[in-house]
Amino acid sequence: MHLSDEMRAELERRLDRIAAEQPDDLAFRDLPAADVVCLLAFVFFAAVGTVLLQAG
Amino acid sequence: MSAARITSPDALSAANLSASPVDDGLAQTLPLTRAERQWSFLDVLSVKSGLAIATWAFLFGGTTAQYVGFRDGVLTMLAGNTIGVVILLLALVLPSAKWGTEFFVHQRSVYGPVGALGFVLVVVVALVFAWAAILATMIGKSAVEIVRIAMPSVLPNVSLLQTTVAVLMLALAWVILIRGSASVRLLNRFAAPGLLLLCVWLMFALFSRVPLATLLAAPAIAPHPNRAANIMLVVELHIAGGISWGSLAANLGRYAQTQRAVVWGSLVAYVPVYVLAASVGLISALVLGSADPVSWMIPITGPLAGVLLLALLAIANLSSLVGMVQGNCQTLIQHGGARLQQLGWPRFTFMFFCCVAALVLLASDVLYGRFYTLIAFSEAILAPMCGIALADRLLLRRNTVILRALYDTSVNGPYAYWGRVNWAAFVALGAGAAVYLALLNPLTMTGTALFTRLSASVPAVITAFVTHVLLTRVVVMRAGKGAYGP
Repeated sequence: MHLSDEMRAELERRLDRIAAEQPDDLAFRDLPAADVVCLLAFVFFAAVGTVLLQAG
Repeated sequence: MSAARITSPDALSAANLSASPVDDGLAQTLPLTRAERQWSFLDVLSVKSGLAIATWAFLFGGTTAQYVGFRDGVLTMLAGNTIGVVILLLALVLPSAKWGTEFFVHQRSVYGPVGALGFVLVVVVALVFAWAAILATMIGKSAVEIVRIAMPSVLPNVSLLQTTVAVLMLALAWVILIRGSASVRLLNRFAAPGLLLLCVWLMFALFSRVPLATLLAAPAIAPHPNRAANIMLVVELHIAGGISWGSLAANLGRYAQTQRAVVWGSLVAYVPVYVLAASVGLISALVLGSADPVSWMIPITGPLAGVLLLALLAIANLSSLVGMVQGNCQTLIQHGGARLQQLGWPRFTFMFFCCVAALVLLASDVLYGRFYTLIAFSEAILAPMCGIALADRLLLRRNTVILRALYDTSVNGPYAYWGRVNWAAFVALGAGAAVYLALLNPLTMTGTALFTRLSASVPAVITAFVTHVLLTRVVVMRAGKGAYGP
């Protein structure tokens, strides 16, 4: 990746700012376990539904 | 959808560095700060729903009708998309949402800087060329239908007219692109509501003319004799459809305030909202016995309204074409190095469109008619990619990444691996792709007995996951490569 000096300086500014923000930033908090369980439950139901459909 | 959906988000305006589309593309590789991550659940939902209701939904719905009827079609579309989108979210979207990084930049931690560039070339160039050719061909076919209605006494050379219009539309798309974002915005102002109108109009016309009992009894267009195989083919098609939102989903997801907002906003847009639009395609195809969206409008709504809807379809395709090429050319410029950047935006996009035009001239009918084959080949790459991303993030790196190292593309960088390529990840990718192609033949669309039970995508994801973990632990970590920690 080829960045101009101006763009490189902006990158450095951003990396510093993000390092400072990171501990408080909501976006950095991982998806709650309950949400992951819900997603996996959807996949489970989709898989079971497929098997039932195949059985007619 | 589809790999062709793979593109970049709007300009990273907060950087204020965007003097040209080339700078714009480069600015988008920068990580986002908290101030730029403002999208709520509703913002994610509305943006992604706008993308979900597009002409590719018709193509997926029409292809579904090849194998199953209405009830099975809706249920299998829901099941396949749910599985595909959840894999996509956990594997590819959450890392970009967490770190605020552009999708292909993030992949440098897995494949190395040059390896990620290889991905850009394969995914963006090969697949986007094909998708752009399909969209241009659909516009050409719309023009043929309009001419047939407007001038019934004239029987044009269908193939010549279709190809000529397709190439002219590519030229128009290039003009719109080089005129800048204002022209693109103007086009989208008509395209998005136009496509929504098209969906509602078609649905209303279908339900007012076709009794529900007839619809429920309508047989699939060209199913295989084995019901279980038909069901799995459609589920597989939609797993591939869900995963193929790929980098577009990831790049848009990084604008969200929280990971919860991006996950649920994306899931609602890419599953129920998308399935609603695809159902229009499914019903139309079942009623008329054709998977081609262009052939539906006039028989369903009559000649006058049909011509209007075909025009709307053409505008919507033009809009998708422009958006897709804009995002992907920026991605190419981001990763392509100084020489590519020095070409400049008009010259670079012109070359891109020339390649697509060549594809239209040489193979548009093949691509258009073998839509599922294209999707299956792209899935043979994207499904293992998800398995590798899951293994790398969750098991090997324990959800950490060195943000600064993603931008260090030197041979001595933390993610340089061997010559800036992580060959182990590519071996895992090859293993996953081999399993996919062994289970499902994309050319004949026939699968093995195991495919009927397990699909092709899920075993490909699992194979790539296991291979990447084993190779990384045995080879990469022992060699002290890839900054995997102690």
